[in-house]
Amino acid sequence: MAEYALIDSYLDVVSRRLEYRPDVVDLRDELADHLLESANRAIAAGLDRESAQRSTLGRFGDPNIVAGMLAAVPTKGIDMVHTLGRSAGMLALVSAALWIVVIFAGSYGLVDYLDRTWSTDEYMWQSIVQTLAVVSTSVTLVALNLRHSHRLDALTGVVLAAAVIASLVSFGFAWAFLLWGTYLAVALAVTVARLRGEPEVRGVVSAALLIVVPVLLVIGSFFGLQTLVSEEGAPFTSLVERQIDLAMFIGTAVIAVLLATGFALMGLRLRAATSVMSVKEPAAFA
Amino acid sequence: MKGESLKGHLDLLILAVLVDGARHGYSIIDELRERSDEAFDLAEGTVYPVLHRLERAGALSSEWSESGGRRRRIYSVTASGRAKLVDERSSWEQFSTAVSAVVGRQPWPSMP
Repeated sequence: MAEYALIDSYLDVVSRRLEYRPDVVDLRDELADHLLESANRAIAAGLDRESAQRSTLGRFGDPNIVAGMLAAVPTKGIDMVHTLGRSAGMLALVSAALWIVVIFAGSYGLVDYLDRTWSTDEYMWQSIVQTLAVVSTSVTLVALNLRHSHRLDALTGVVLAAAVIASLVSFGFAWAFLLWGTYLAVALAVTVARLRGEPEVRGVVSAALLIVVPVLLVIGSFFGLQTLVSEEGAPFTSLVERQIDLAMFIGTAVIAVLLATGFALMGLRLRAATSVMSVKEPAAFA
Repeated sequence: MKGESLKGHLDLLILAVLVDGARHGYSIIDELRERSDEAFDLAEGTVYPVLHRLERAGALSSEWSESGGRRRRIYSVTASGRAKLVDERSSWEQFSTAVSAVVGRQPWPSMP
């Protein structure tokens, strides 16, 4: 439709605002039919092609307002999918913020641990913060899958199951990487692998979330398993126990830094994709 | 008449146009303009969310056809839409009569 470049640009703006909807092609086709019909009539009435498009688009209204109004009418039966998919960017930023809190909580905990003043209360708070981060990450991963597939398909189901297990187990056993780390790694790897072609999930985000974090989570889990098995054979000396605790502190902090970075970048890109793209010189359509 | 004044009445206007036969979006707007003798001047894009909302509410149904190589969505009124039109028409008539009674009254000096 190169000869209707202005109408094309207008439809691109509206479509990008509605890209998360399964009926985006229908919406675009319906608006395209209206705009082309109107422009062709204006051309038949004597206007040149560009003036006809400008007049048509001027009468149709600002693309951001039209897209916003269309977005406000949900497609039947997929409200939850839409809401979650649309919130993926915000959820990613919330997850990033929670992982940053985990880093700070871990740093304070580490200092106190080294001073040997680390208390059960501090452990509890650190566990709660970490669990919140795991739950938020799980919800974000499910939202990212719904945003991508627009429905609860098999892969989204796998991610949902892994995310729910990771969240529940982390709630009860935050200290046990072995029990929740592997599930979170699966949910993370599946999600980023299926989204890696999208502009919001590339470069550092993809490398961190698809490869480094899942690998570290799995290593952490096996390290935990190894220590449990070894302890069964012969109880650790306090020195070894302390080394294991320190390794866990540092491992958690490294994973938290990577998750915070990856989700912050992804969240900002997703937010930019749903808001900035629309301000494509509305005046050009008037 | 600008879009703001029409906002609250678009459901009624669209149902009134469609009750005479199925139409696509452009044709509905064209008919609104023609029947109002060009008085209705609303941002055309704002009609589509109203059509979708009415469809979601069950007042309209739609199906796709093809015209000039383009996909075209045709809307028609359902039984529930006809009932809604009767209600909306009756509310509008009451409202319109009441407003006319107030604004159409002669000023005091000329009252009989």
